[in-house]
Amino acid sequence: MERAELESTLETLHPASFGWALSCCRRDRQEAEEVLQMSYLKIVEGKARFDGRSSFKTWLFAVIRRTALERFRWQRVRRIVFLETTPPERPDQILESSERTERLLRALDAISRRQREVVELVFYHDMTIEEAAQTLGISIGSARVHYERSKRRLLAILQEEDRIAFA
Amino acid sequence: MPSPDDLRDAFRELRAADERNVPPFRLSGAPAPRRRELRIAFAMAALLIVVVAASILHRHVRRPVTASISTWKAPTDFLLQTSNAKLMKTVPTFGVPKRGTSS
Repeated sequence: MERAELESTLETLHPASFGWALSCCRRDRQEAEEVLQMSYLKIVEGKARFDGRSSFKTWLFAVIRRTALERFRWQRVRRIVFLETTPPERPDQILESSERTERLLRALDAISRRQREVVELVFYHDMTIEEAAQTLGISIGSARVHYERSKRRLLAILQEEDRIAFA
Repeated sequence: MPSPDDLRDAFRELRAADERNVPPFRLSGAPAPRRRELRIAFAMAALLIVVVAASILHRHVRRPVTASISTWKAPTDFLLQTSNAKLMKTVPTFGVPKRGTSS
């Protein structure tokens, strides 16, 4: 893929990529921007190459996820080495968020990372379970199990919140 | 009671909120060298740790003592020692009278 074509494709997918980066960085906007920038550079500089085995979006999301994980690991090492204090849990940086969005985010915080990733790829990014599996580098069967469990768990958490709210 | 459709709607709402605040697309080359430097620094630190650990291990591990075959002695050698073993190691001389004896 030529550089100009690559940049144009990245720009087209930029809003979706930012949404995914936010998810990979536990909704930290600043981190998400940094991760996205690093991922774009990896791609443009040829450190990450698209081999056509999946769709470009699936591959791009996998690069973003890997970059976020690398960055997270590096930060953890740096915190240990330099005895830095841990950052706040989750900076809530959604400027305009409804009650329903807040409840959804709270519920997402209560499930495992893998479950959150699968359910977000399917519901937020309208991916199929197969595409989600490709993005996360796991089997379709495993992705399906995570999807079912996370959906059930999210619904149970939201139902419980409803019950408490109306009690 | 929420349904899967409610869940989907909630995610759509979240996406719409995120899309309203998407930063502009840009490609700047600034972070790359910093990352490379960090990677090199990390590799150097890891290498240093490995070298120090290896030298400490090397110093503390005792090497087995290997005896030369020419100096080796069987641990049961003493069983072969007899009271007259000296006779076997000395050469007797003939014709020289012992002091204090008459010829």
